[in-house]
Amino acid sequence: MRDQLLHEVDELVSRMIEGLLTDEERQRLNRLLSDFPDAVKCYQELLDNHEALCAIYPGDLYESLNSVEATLTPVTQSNSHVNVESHQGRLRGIAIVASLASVVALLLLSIIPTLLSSDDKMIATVTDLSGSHAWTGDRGEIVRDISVGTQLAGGTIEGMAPDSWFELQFNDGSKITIAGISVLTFSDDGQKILRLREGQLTADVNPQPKDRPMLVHTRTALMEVVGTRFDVQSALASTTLNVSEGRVRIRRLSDGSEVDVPENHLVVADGENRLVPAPVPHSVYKWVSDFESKPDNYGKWKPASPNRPASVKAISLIPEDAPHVTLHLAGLSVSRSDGATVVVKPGARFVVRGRIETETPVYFGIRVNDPDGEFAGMFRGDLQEDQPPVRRSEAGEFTETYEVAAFSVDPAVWDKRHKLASRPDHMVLDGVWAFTHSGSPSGLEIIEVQLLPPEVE
Amino acid sequence: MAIHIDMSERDPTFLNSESTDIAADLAAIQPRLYGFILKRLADREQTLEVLQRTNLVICEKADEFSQGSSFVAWAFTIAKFQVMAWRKSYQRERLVFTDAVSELLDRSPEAEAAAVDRRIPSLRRCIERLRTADQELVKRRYRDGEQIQHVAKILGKSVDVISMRLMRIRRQLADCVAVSLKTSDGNLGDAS
Repeated sequence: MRDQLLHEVDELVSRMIEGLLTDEERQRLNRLLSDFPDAVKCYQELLDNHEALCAIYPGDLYESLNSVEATLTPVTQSNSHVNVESHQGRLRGIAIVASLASVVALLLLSIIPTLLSSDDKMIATVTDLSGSHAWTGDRGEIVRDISVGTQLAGGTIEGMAPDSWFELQFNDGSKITIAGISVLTFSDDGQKILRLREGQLTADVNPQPKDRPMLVHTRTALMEVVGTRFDVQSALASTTLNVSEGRVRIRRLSDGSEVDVPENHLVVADGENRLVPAPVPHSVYKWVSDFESKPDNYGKWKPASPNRPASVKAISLIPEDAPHVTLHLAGLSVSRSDGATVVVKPGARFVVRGRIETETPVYFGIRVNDPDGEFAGMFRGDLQEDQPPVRRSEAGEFTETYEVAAFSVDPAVWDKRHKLASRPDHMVLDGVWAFTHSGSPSGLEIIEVQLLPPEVE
Repeated sequence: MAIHIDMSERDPTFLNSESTDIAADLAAIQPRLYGFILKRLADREQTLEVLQRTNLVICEKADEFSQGSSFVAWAFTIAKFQVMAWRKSYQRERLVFTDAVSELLDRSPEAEAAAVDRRIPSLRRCIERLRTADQELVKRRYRDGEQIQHVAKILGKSVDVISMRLMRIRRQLADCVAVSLKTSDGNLGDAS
């Protein structure tokens, strides 16, 4: 019964989107929505997807807008038989619509040159990248085969996996980098405007015009940048700004409070704490993951229960360069609540504790930055093809150790190794991930990842 | 039909530099506004008319927009009021939804924006998983903006057949996005 009902909603919504609904079907749709909460849910789901499709491919809308004028003409010509009042009302409506159509037309005309010139005027060049990305241009065009040297006119770049990394250089030499699961929209029409929806951004900004500073938007804050070097981490409820050189003004959106953050200081803009810059703490050499609260991760977070600690469960990932392969991967960003940077010392080791359903190799990788915050490389802690299966306890748990001394350059960045660090030693830890490649889901869950310095036994 | 608007009756700063920014933002969110209104009116022609009223009000109120806040949510708020005004002034018999259903469908502009935002990355991946022929149909319909009648003619099928195929594709995409959002909940966060 329920399936039949929802199938009917599917059909009515699809016909509604296509403008094919009859009067009878309109009434039926209204009745279904009125009587069945599931129908409302189904309706909103389909229409949310339709709206998202329109956002990805806006052609449908512009075709419709173009057809407004055509649809008005026959209406004005066919109304001679209706009564005067409704005719006048209709004409008033048409006049309003026509005026409004012209406003839209004017608006579109006013921006068309900008849109057209944005195609001609490339604002930035891809200077390096690795991992899976998708770029969406201003008009919804989606490009996945981005390569070094590709020139872009603005749009949205999305890092699709924990090992994704993307560097862009604006025409004035300013550089921005996103790493891991990140979504960044950028534009430059005389003023650089960035919107970091989620993830991590590193920027090295050349001096900008004082009246047109670079603007960096996140969900919770707005930053004005005249020329400096800084990192931004954007989460759902907070933004962390770490300034390594120069000065950045940040405004918290929830209350409008502003503060200037000087170099070697950081500030967290959230709804709980005062907006006060604090000195960047010294580096630490020991780190342990914290899954008690929902972390920034790739995978499914499972909160703690009375019998089990919190964990992140691996989810499937299809590598860009190997579409026939399905990995099951869990990853997380490395950060500390006090803002200290975590440095990998020579001779350190990573200890990964987790659960798994089958005894299969668990591969492990890390992403590191140099002390200035620039991407420095990715490394694998496992033995790749020679990695032995993990040994699981009766409870299905395992503990695996990966010695930093044995780390090797991740194959994903092998062709760029001459530009990156050859070893992770002394680099700042930015992200870690673990995955299996057993041909089917392994049930891999990460309970804890630790970085232990060499002196800790 | 000649389209004309007398700009002399308008505020001379109507399209100053700030308004030009608003115009660019406004153009960028047209698909979102269209979807927002369609959801509430369930009629393409009425949606286009209310969309244009909304655009006009947004232009007129451009200087009331607070820079740094969500432009989409602000525009949705205006659209919501325009839909309400439309429902009050329009012939009741031509409205698809009763007031009760209209209330059932109502969500805050912020929740509305978030509900769609969180779907877009998953939807992109789900489109890539469609059969090639279905991907082509989606692109014809959405990217190229071809009307269903035109698509049916080109493919030598009836409108009903193409409509049914699109319905199945929409359901397939909805299921795929739902699974994607569920499995990657920790990654995408709860945006609603």
